[in-house]
Amino acid sequence: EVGEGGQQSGGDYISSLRELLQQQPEMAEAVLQQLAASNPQLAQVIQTNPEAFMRYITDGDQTALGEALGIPREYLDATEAGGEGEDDEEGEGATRIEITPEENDAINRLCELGFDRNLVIQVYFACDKNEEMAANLLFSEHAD
Amino acid sequence: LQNTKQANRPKKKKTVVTKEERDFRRTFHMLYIFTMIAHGVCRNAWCSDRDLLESLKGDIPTKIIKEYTDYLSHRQRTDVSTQSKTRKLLDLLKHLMIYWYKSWTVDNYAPVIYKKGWNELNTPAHYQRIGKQEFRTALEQRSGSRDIAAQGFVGLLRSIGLQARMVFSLQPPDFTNLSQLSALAEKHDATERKKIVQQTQSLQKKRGRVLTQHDRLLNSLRVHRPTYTNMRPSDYDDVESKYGNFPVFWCEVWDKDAKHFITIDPIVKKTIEVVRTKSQLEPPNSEIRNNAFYVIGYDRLGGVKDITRRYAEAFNAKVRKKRITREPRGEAWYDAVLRGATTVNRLKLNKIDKFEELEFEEFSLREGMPNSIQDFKNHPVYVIEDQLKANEVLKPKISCGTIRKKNKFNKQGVLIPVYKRKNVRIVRSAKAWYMRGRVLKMGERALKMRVKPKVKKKTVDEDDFQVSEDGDNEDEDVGLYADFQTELFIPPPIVNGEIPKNAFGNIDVYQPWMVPEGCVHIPKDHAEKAARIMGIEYAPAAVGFNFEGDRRSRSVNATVKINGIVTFEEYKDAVELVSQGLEEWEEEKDRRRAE
Repeated sequence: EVGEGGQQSGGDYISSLRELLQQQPEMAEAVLQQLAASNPQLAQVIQTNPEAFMRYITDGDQTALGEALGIPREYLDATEAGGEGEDDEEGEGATRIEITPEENDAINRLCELGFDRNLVIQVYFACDKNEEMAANLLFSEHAD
Repeated sequence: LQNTKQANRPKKKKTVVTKEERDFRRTFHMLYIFTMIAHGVCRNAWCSDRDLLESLKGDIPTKIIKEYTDYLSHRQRTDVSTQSKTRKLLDLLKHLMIYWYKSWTVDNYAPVIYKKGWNELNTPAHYQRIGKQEFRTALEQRSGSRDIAAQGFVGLLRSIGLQARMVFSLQPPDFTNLSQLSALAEKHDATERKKIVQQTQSLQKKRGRVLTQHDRLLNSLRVHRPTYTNMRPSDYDDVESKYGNFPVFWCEVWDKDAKHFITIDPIVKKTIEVVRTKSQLEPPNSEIRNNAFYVIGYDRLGGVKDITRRYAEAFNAKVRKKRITREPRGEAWYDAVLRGATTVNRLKLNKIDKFEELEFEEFSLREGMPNSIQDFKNHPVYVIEDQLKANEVLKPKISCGTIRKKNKFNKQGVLIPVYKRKNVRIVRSAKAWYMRGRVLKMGERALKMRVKPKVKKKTVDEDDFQVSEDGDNEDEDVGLYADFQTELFIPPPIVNGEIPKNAFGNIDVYQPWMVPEGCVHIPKDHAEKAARIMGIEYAPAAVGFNFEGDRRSRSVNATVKINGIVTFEEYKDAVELVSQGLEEWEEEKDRRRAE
């Protein structure tokens, strides 16, 4: 029957929800109804803590988006290091990219052009540390 | 949840649902929105996958690629107008769109997202999983549901470097619908029943054209390989009557020269437009399978924004009331969801966001006045006098238009003036202003009178609480004043070394600036005891009121809230020291008692 995929008991409603929203949005009504009925905490967390839970549940996709743009994962997560303590299977803080003094200078120069440092770092590394290319991209994308 | 639902579902002839069902609908509405916004984040990310984009780009006819490079060089030119640059972009988009829908085989049996009624939540969609791999396969083979076809178009545009946004119009069941069996469902049931009748009739004529469970299964298997036109016109009709002839996914491209978004629906309406007032993609009210109530834009940097304003012509008058954001609590929730869905680097507004914000304000102005009286209620721009709250007043009272109000005696209706919401002021009694540290200016006259209520209506309105909580004597008519009629309270100077006290022997310090000059407020529990021991001049500080009893009932008991004392500045250190000592001494005493 409908929603078999979402019929999970216990605490695994998060992975059921993730599966639903990634692969089967057309079945959302039926599956959500079952999920919410068997996991009251689902409605609870969505209503009381929407921002953090949304970030948590879409984390993989936001990271994928960053990777598509060539942004290293570290920079996407930079501002919320150690945010949720819910699920540690991914081993946070694995490899950190060190910024050399030369790179830092380049980043500073780009910042002086009037861009946000976070953004500059992402774009700079996306452009394989090519300062000129980064500047071009910054201007064409963000100074419009 | 399940229990209450089952208990409430039976078709009793009751017009309005129970509170449990109402709560369920609201909660479910939010669950759905949350899930679908997350779904958009996921598909948006897939539409930016580098390998996929490369493969899509590789298939684009060289003619179109050339057109794109021509456009880029045309953009660089300084001797041509913005319009001609935009024209070139529109042409390019049109050719891309035609290329896309011609090469795509829309699988009309694949499940799609559409709006369901409350009795349809369990309507089976046939089983299908589209993981990232299947998504990619579908795009490369140009075969899949109309939703996926539209998502793929976003990927196509991004593959050549256009700033394309994926637009997703969420289709949650309507939580404002409180009817037992919704009108939507009844209408649907009626058409369903008719369809079943028709189907059985045609089944007798020609067996086999009706979709059986078996067909559905076969069709779902077909999704994963290219299906070449196995559809007939009748199948199209079927899809449109079932799911509506309006898109759920479409696309927007930022035109860097003209500074606006171009809307493209490449699959359902096959149309390109720059929305000014009414979008072709906004379904009419009669459309039960699609509403543009929550339209979300996902850009390629991971920004997630509500862009419903562009697609809902009567946003302020109608759509606003259908959204969870109609109450402040819901709005805060919705904003938090959008923030959570946005990648960290896009949380700060960029230039495009600011252009769009301005554009939406223009939309709001262009929408103009609602054309029915009830649509004025809580309208963000306009207001009529009848609907003002007890503590609201119009100042200046300049009408900006009129509306015809009909009643049963007067079919023609009478013209009543309409005002701007920004001219609405909150009025308060003198006492309420004093609680906020303000006093009336000399000679100000009340803008409004609060008449002694005969029977106080039961209300949950916060603004109404505010008035009664201020501790007015409700048995008399009270004059109400607006903020501009008041000024900051300046405490009277100290005379004869005595701190001024009120009738109860306290000093009112509802706000920090109410402490007289040369004095200090020491908000400590033991300060009063300390001051008494020290024998200095002081006054207990009244900082507010505690309200006891049911707030909604008439009998509210206000007791004054004392927090520490006010005394002269020079005693400050000493009083703090002594009260600190008293505190420690008491703690010590408690500890000893415990042992």
